Amino acid sequence: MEDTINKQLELNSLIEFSQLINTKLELEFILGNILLSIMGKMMITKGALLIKTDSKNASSNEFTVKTVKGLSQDLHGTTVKVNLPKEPIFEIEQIDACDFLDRIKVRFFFKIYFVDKLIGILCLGEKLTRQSLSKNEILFIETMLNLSSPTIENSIRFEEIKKLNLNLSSQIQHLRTLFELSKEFNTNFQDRNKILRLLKYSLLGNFGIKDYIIFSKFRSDRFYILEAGKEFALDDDYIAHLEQIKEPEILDEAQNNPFKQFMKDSGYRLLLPITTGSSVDTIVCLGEKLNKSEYTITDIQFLESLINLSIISLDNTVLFNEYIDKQKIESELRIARDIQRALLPDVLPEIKGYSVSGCNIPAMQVGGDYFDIIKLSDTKFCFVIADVSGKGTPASLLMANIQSAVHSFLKFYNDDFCFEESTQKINELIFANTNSEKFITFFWGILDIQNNTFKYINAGHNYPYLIKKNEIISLDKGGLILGVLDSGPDYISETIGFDENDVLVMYTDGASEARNKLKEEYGEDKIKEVVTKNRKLDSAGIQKKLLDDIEKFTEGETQYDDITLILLKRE
Amino acid sequence: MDEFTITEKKSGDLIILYLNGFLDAHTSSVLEKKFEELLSKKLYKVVVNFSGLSYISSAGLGVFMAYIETLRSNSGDIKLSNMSDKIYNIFDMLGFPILFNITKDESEAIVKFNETV
Repeated sequence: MEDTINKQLELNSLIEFSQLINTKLELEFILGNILLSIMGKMMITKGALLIKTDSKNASSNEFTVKTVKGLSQDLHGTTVKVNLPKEPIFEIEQIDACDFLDRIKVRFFFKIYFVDKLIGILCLGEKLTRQSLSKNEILFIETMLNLSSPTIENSIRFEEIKKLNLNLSSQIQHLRTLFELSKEFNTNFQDRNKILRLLKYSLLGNFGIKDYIIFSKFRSDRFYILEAGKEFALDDDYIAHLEQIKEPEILDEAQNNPFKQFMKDSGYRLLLPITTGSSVDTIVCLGEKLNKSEYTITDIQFLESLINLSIISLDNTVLFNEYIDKQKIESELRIARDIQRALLPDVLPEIKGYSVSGCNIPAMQVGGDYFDIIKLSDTKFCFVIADVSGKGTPASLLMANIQSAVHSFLKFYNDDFCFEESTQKINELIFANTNSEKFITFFWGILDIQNNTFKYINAGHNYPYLIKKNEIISLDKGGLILGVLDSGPDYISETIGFDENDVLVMYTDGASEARNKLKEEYGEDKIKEVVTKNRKLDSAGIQKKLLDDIEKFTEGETQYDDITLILLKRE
Repeated sequence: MDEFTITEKKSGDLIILYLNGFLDAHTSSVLEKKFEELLSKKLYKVVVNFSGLSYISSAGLGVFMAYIETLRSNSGDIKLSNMSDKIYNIFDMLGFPILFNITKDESEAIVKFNETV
């Protein structure tokens, strides 16, 4: 009779139990219930339920502790290897003692099967009575395990699907991030800070982390901190360590390398070297995730894409800024060129009995060449050629200065005009208007077609040559270059005679120093030679021959200085 | 372009931010500027009401991560409320509930602030 009541009770509790666990899918809840029900029934104080770590691997003997009762909760989640005997149940004495089973003082040991696949192990400690299990009790436990094994199997599957879902969702998040960022970076590639900020938020938001550092060699030959969540003092020693990192490293255990240990102690969990060029040039260092999960291979792939995308965008930003800078320089050059062109004479005056020509070929970088031919009277003409030191806008502005000075002085030209004094005054003006590094080589002369004379002053300019029938005169009298000394020695002038067929060639160093591929200079001798050889032509003809010869010599090499020529020939 | 706006309500030393629309990489700077503004005004206690938010991406989540510690070190906090399931799942996936107080509705979040005072 009592036996029947007992059976009835057992059946009731089994039905109740199976109803309860069948409504739930959470593995830990189900296992907890199974374990507690059995322990309560058998009066056992310690127990654990182990589930096969990898349910797909039939030959594996590794199990994960899913539930423990009456034992330290630290055991929860740990994995153990259990060598299983073939027999269905055992008392511990009968199997090889293993460390874990020893620690929890397991006495009874049941295998849990789903159909014919082993899915877990039930471990039970000593009964309060210290007795072994009766036949009935074993039957009860086996029935219970058989009843619950489909539920356990279902919830294992459920957990796996949940995990897969989670992975999938986080991968979708990763992809969304990459998609959004590439869209964003493409429209904002001029703003370096914005790129770094979005990179930062994407790191924080994709992994749920607080700490991160990005060490990079972006546009540098050593690692520096491109972006970091908190202060980090990067010294040479650390840089040397960073150089050694070639593989992704998870900092979960104690590190034998002091740098890695330091990073681990500072809360970092992942060191990931990333190659954007030919060698590792970025190392991403991330802290622990809020959800405590480990970094996975898909995380690493995502990080590689994210960093690559960001570095490329940063690179585009730099290139874009360089392009803008270049545009600025070019527009500045254009302004300089325009100033210069506006100051050069449009039309050269006609001079009776003479032919005259002049040209200025601006170089890529605008130099400060200036030439001018100004009609003073029906019989007098002033020739000016000058070269301002430096290049670009500053040079062209100084050139504007000398042009206006020359024109102002010549406005008052009359028979009393003092050539030497005017040169000195122009020097003072230039000296006052420039700093000491700026100077001007300057040559000017006045042609008198009544007497066929040429009076000139050469203030440090390349010697013009007067090519006569049997000799070449260098026009070298004058004084110091303009703008260097406030009041140096007086300028002196010289007057030379112009015979028929005499040719005067004036030039700037852009002509005499024009270079070929071998960096050889054209030279003054060739200028003299070409002019002499062609002195039968008129000025324009000689000028063309000279320019052609210079061009032939340089063979299309880019010239860095203006070429300016004036030719004057008495026909 | 996807719109994102923030309206705000002040309640004592609490600030309640109502997020509306799409919070993504493009619009995250709006939220960032809002937090900067709150910091400059020394307002450290923030409830963020998500009821009007239809989408959040990682860059948006990142902004919350970036400011939480600063606010807490000034004895403030960011408490999140009124999330749709879709948005809550994203926060949950990353373990945000460990770091952030996430409540069903705004009033609960306000009560939580008052408890800690």
